[in-house]
Formats: sequence, C-alpha cells, structure tokens
Amino acid sequence: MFVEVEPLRGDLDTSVPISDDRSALRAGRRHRLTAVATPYMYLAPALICFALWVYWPLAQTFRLSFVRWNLLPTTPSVGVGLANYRHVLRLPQLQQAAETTGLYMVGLLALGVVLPALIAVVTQGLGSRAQAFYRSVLFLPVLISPVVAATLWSFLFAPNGGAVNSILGNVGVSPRNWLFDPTTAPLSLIVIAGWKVLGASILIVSAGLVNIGPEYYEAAALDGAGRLRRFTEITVPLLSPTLLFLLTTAVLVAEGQIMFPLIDTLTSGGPSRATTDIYYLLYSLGFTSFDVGLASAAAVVFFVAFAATAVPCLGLLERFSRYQD
Amino acid sequence: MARIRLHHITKAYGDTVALDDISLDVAHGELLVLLGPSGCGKSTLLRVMAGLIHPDRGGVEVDGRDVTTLPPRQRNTAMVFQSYALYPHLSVRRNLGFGLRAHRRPRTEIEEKVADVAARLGLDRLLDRRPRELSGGQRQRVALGRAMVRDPAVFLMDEPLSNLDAQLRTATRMELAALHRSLDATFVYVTHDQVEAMTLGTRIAVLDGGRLQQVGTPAQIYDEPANVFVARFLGAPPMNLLPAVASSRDRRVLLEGAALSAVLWEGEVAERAVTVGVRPERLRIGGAGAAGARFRSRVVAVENLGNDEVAICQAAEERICVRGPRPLGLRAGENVELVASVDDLRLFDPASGRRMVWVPDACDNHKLPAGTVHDVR
Repeated sequence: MFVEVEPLRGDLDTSVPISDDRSALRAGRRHRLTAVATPYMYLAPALICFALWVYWPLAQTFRLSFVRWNLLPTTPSVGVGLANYRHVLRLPQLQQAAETTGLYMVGLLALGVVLPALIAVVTQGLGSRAQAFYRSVLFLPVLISPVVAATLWSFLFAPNGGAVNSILGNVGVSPRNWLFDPTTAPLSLIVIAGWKVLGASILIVSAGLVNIGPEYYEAAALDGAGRLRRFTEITVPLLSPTLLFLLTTAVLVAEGQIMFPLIDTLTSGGPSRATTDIYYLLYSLGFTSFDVGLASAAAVVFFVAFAATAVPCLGLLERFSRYQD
Repeated sequence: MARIRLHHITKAYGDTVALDDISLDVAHGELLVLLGPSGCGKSTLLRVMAGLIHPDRGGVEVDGRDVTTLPPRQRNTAMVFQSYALYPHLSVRRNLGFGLRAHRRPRTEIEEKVADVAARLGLDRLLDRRPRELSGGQRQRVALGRAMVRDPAVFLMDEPLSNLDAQLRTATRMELAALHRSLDATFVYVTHDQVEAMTLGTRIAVLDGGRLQQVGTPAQIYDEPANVFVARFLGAPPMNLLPAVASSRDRRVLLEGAALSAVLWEGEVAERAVTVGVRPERLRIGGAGAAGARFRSRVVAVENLGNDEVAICQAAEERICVRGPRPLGLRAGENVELVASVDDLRLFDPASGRRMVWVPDACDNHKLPAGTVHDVR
C-alpha cells in the first residue's frame, strides 16, 4: 500500500497557541491605531503651515474678490457680486502688466534655466576643485537678500559713475539711465533677477547631471555616438525632469518671489509702469489704492492663469520623472 | 576576424596600480574569461579594450592594427554592461537601434536588423516597452541584443549575469555559450564567478591586484594552478594548502608536516620548506596501507550540499576540507586520516607562492642540477 508523504511543517508544535493574553490584544489594537496615525502626525506640521499660510489666504482672496472694501476694520465690506471681475478685466494696466510678466518669464527662462544648464554641463568636465570654486562664486548671490542685492545693483546701474556705464563706455556705448528708461528698466531687472537665481539653478542642474549614470555615456560611446549625439540623446532627455522642475520653479516662483522686492526697491513699478508685473500690480491695487476687492479679483484671475501654466508643467514633470527606476 | 593583443598594459590611479604590465593574446573566436576578485582590475582591463580607459603605458592591437588611441566607436567592439545601461528614456526598439542610428545606417536596414535580433532573442513582443517595464532577464537580453545588432567583431561583457537570480543565470549562461558558438566573434568576458568562468571560457585569465596570475584552459587553471592565489581562488571549497618540509632519505623524497607525512618519488633534495596543496575532492578517507600522502585531522563540522558533503577538519594548525559524495561517513569530533595519491599533490614555494614541479635526476637537460625543484609559470 502507498501512503502519501506529508509535507514537513514549519512550526514545531501546533497544539499550543502562541498567545492568548487579553492585554496583549488590547495593546495590539492601540498599536494599530498608532500605526495609522503616525504618518499623519509626521505630515501635520507641513499641512498646518500650508493651511495657515496658503489655503486660508487663498480662500480669503476668493471671498474678498466679491466685495468692495478699503481694508479699514471700521468700514463695512459690501458684497458686489462679479463687479470686481468685470472691472479687473477692463483695467488698462492689466494688459501691460501681463506683457511685462511675460517678458520677465522669458528672461528668467534664459537666465534661470538655459544659461545655468549650459554652465553646469560645461563645468561638469572641470576638476572637482575648479568646479567647487566656480559653483560657490556663482551661488553667492543666492545668499544675498533681494533688497541688499537691489541696492548694490542700483549703484552699478547708476547713470553717473555707475560701473555698468563706465565699463560699457569703454567699448563705445553711450551712458544710459538704465533703471529709469522704460525700454531698459525691465531688462535691467531681468539681469539682476537672473544673477540671483543663476547659482541655485546651476546647483540643481549639476545635481541632475550627477544622477545620470556614467555607464549611459560609456554605452553610447561604444554604440558610436559622438559628443553631440551623446549630449542631445542622453544628457538632454535624462536631464529633462530636472529642467522641467527648474522651469516651474525658476520661471513661475522666481518671477513672483525675486522680482517683487527688486521692483519695489528699485523702480516702484515705473517708469510709467514699464516694470510693473502682475504681482506688483496686485500689491499696488490692494495696498496703495486700498481697493481690496479689485486686488483680490485680479489675484484670482492670475491664480487661474498661473495654475493653467503650472499644471501642464507638473504633468510633464510627472511623466518624465518616471524614466529612472 | 578579430585577434586582440595587449602589450604591457599599465594603468594607475594615483598610488593605486589598477593594471600592472599585462600582456595577453586573445585568438579569433575565443571566449576569454577575465576572472578575479573584485578590485583585481578585470573590469578596468575590459574598459581598456573597449577604449573607455586609456592605459598609462602599453598598447592594444586588434588584428595587427594599433587601436590604443582610437575612440570606442572606431574599434568595432560592443559591450554588455553589468548594469545593462539601457537608455531609460528609449523603447526597446530604439535601444536596439541606437548604435545603428549613431552610425547613420539607412532606416530600412535598422528596422530589419532590430527585427532580426529581437526575433533571435525572443524580444519581438517587447519592442515598444521601456526598460523599466522589463524584468531583469528581459533587460539582460536587450543589453545583449544592443551589442549583437551591429555585428561587432568583439563582444566585451562585464559581469553580464551578476544581476540575475540563480536559475536564470544558469539558463542564460547556456544561451550565451550557444550564442558564442553561433557568432563568428571574439568574446572577452569578465566575471568573479568561477562556475561561469569554468563553463563558458575557452581560456581563463586569472587576475589579482592588477597582475595577471595565470592564463590557460579551465582544466589547466583548475588542475595546474600557477600559484597559491589561483589554487585558492578556484574550487569549492578551494585547494587545501598546508606547510611542510621536503627532504630525502634513502634516495626518496619525503614530506613532513605537523599533521602530514608523504613519501613521494625517488630522488635527492636538500631540505626545504614547501606548501603542499591538495583539492578537497581528491582526498579520501584513509584505510590501512593506502599509499601517498596522509593527513591526520579531526572533523570540526560536516556540511550537506545535497549531492556532496564537505567535512571541515582541523589538521594541526590548519583547516583542511574533504569533499565527496554523500554520505561521507564522517561526524564532528571524530579523528580521521585523510589520504591523497602522490599525483594529486601540488607543491608551491612558500616564499614566492609559485607552483613547483619535480625534474627527475635522470633528466636529459644537463644544465639543470640533479633533483631540483623548479618554479613553473
């Protein structure tokens, strides 16, 4: 007679249960509760800050965009429906501010994304000491407060005796009043902002370059790809998540956070509103004209416009960042 | 045709010498395995052949043409990387075709070749996937396909199987051997795995510390190791090595050690220290009157390998392993006398580590003093 062999069991003795202790069960339940709560507790500080400083003001802006109010606690706010929005969209300053913002963005794209990418790629081949020196020098402006930077640059751009004019004078360019000429003022601000974001951008691109494994270049070299093909077919596509990240931060974020103090310190939006971008327009509507409803309505309009720009960027970022495992 | 010759290749990184005066000749159609522990310079040597690293001194010659200063693209070599290095942003199809595109081949030719290689490697249905959507084994095939698609004269492989699990590794190893037979190309294959080296290689070059230790067929490397490093590097467990003193009495050469004694062959020798080597599977459990070398030892542990058993024994100050079909019939704590025939003993110079052979007294070569032990290379 054949008898099937029983597979050997992994446990040594099944007759004794491992534990039948009530308190252990209770402790287990408590443990499970903690386990569920732990990730939220870690997230809490960030979520609270976001709610307090981002989402709450955003909600307030939405609410204020439907009222007329002059910011004084003693004055009541009056609900006006969509009147603020109608007014905002007809504002003549709006189009000019939008154009200036576009100009700033193009400038920041060149100085905050393209130029740093090129510098990072070129300095990648340098020795580690030269590389560290270059990058530290270029990173220094990031650490200088925008207001201090603006003041320093106002000396450089000064019409009489400023370094910019004297240097350009040597090559035959006639002196200009850079910050008070409607054609040169926006460009001057772009140069200052670019100088400030350049270092951080180089650092980000360099980090992205380091992440591209050297074996891809070796494989491409063996496959017969020359320098140019390796750059266009390996470096650029594998760097694209970094570049997209930079595009969103350098262009959208820097436009708001670096330009504003520069405009406020150097030109106050002038001459003849030539340097007023959207952020500065919002600020002047709200805190110079004290028309909170109008400023809020404008803010909502631009929140939507910026979101419409940022969402596809983030979508692309998400798609490209999935290259690597 | 691709015959590779390396002349006195030397490469140093700061004070670390990665490659120390390596000369090597790889015949056309050979599968030469570069074997050694990590950091022995085998990957560096492969990269020198690929043109990814330029040697400080020495030259690389392919079919009589000096390629030392040529960039990789002009060498007609392809490489399979340990990490596969598949371009993560390109589909399998574009990964396979990358090299042909870089060489500006016509589109129809690229499509044809890619389809051909994909069919040979069973990748047809994966052509539109990205590398991250492939399993480890599939990625390995794509890496291999990317090398094959250009019909290179030389395939350079840097531990191509090390990222696969054990079963897949064995299967892929056999496929690689079949591929080598079917392609009219020279393979240079880097590994630290002695099983891969023994099974795949037509010849093996063993490296250690940037120096070539021995070059030979797998049988030569295993049976006639040039030095104690090679003897210890191959074999599972590796060759047993014990110190002893060689002397002669009544015109016979004898070996005496703390736990060993052996009567070798007829001859005279001045008393000298030697290292005695014997493979674990060549040791037998002694009975009365067995001739050859005897090792007195005590069993420390017995390992069950399924088909075989390995008994780890203590012989005076040294560990000695014996391997044989299961059951060996040994138990821990037991005293055992292990026996090896004289033919299975290998003798090494304790100072240089090099293996020595016996040149008999009646040797035709009159230049050699009678009964001398000589180093072999």
